[in-house]
Amino acid sequence: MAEVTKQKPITDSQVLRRNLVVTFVLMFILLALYVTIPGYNYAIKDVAIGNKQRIDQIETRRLNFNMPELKMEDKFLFRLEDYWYIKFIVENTPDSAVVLLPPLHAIDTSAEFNSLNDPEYMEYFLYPRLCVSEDQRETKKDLYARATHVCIVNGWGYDKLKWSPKSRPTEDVLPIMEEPKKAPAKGPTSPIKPGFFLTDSTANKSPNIKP
Amino acid sequence: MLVYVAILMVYLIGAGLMTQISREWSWKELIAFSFLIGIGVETFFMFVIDSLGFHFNYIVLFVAGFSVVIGCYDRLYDYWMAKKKDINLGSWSLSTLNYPAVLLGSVILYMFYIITQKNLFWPTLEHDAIGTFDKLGRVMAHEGVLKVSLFKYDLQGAGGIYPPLFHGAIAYLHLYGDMQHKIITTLFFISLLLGFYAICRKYVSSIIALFFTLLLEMVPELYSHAALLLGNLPTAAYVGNAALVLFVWLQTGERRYFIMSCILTALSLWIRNDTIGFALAGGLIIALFSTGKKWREAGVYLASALLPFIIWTLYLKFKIQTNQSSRFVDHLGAINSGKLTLMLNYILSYFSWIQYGKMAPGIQLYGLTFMLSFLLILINVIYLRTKKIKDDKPYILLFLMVSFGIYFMIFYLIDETKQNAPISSLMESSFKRGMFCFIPPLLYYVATSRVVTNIANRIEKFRTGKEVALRTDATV
Repeated sequence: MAEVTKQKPITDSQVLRRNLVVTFVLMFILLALYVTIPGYNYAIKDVAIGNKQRIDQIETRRLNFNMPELKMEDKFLFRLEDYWYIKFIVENTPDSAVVLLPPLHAIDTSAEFNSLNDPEYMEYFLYPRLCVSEDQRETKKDLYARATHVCIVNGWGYDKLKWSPKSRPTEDVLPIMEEPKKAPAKGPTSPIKPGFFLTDSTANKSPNIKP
Repeated sequence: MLVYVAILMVYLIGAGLMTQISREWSWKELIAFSFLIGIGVETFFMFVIDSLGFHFNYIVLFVAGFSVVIGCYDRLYDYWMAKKKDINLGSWSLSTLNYPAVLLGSVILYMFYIITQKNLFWPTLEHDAIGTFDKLGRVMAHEGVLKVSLFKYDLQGAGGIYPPLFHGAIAYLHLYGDMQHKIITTLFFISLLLGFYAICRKYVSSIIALFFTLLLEMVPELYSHAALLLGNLPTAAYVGNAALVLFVWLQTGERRYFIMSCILTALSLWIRNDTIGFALAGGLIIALFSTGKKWREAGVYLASALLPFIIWTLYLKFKIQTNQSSRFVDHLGAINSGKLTLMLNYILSYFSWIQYGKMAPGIQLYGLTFMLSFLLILINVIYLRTKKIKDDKPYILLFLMVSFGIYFMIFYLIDETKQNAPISSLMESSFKRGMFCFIPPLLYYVATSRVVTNIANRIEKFRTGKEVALRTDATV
């Protein structure tokens, strides 16, 4: 169907005025939707602008402190409360390790560690290592039997070791069989929870993210 | 840097195949659909290479993709020569500029920029992405196969049985540039919005097309997903665009839209098998409403849509050795009225402002999408009177009702014990996100309904001083 137009005499300035009227009415409608509909308010204020402000704050602080561009690892440390411990596991276990994760009862009072019990979740960070949870000792017997390292969390896990370590920090990752003395580990011998961002009025301490 | 080459390759593959179908596509349609087709082709290459017992890497995939582009070069070049004149701003002046459209376009682009910035700044943080999709993508890129070693230890995650398009797309980008893979969500979002706008613009004014594109973009839950590495938004891009081009074919009879609908519907089953309801609904409306050889065309449509479904089911059965139906009940039995009532209550909540369970109501999750759409449909019915509603694209309403019915039944038939999750949890997660697929066709129906087009014509008449009739042949 071809476009059919009937010409009416109207000047360009009238077109401009009418365009502006429609534009203002449209702006009013969009503003009304933003103010009255909670979903749109959330999407714009929290998801969009709130996050943009957060990113801008982070970048401003980085530039003020002359820090290099943030790597993905830094961003994980900022957003995942237990990433410092996951990083410690990766740095202190070989690629061939089978890591024994703590049972739910060992971590259910610690919001910080509430993902550590989930092998499907942890495998993302630990691959090519494998992982199995203490709660799967009956359902994944073969993999459980192959465990080479234990995650010590909230003091749990020392009873899984076949040797007795001299010190017993509440968080660590240790081989089940005592390993001969070798070159020092890549990272610190005990995991250190980072204090990258000082707490301030903008509350940089980030909650563990769960969708 | 290499990741941008990979992305360009995807677009060129898709564009090349689209120009094989027709050279009449507008630029917007070409850009929107070429990504969806191109990434589907690349994941299909991965599947074929894996099925033949080989390993894929970025060189193999690049050569395969480049071969497709070379094969389509003549048509691509002809398209460029024919359509490059359309790349211009046209004649305009500040006094006659379409300021409402400029406002809407600016808002759409600014909101898109903000969510893209969020998407690209943060790493993958979503539980499902870490537990399944991104993990599978990284391991697939590392090992060069679809059946990765994680399956042996049951560490693949719940999405391991899903068809490979989404995590294959992530793997494709991991092969070229590890840290830039989240851009895939942005590219799917572009295809969703641009495809919707391109189709709407064929029938309505730019103001109405942009307004409804903005409504689509700002669906709160969908907008949040544009910064997440989850498969629901990409699925909505495939299902939504597949439905829209099917409606265009039913309206205009242009063969290229039928072919495109077959391809996009097939790819929607290559990303998630539970989109089968949309394929069945599409087949039904073809059989009822198309002119010409209805049953043959419905058969072709369903056969092309179901082919990926069958291929993946066989791959799961014989290679991965698991069964998709393992999550469903073994037998139907009597109606579970408690489950039915719970599901219906959740649906009522999603369509309205009423809260049910722990989930936010629909007005929080989807904004005005469903409420405004149902209101405008009601007004349209009253406006046209019952008899004339049959003349205003009734196939869209039938498509929505049938596909929703099938989608509902799929969830109703899930065995909560086998799924290891109560139905309330599924309604508050998977079902809620799956609703994205209904939004593009619903908004398209409302945008092109008689009552809205009449309002649009009045606005255009007031704005320009010219009386404008309905357009059906817009190419830009």
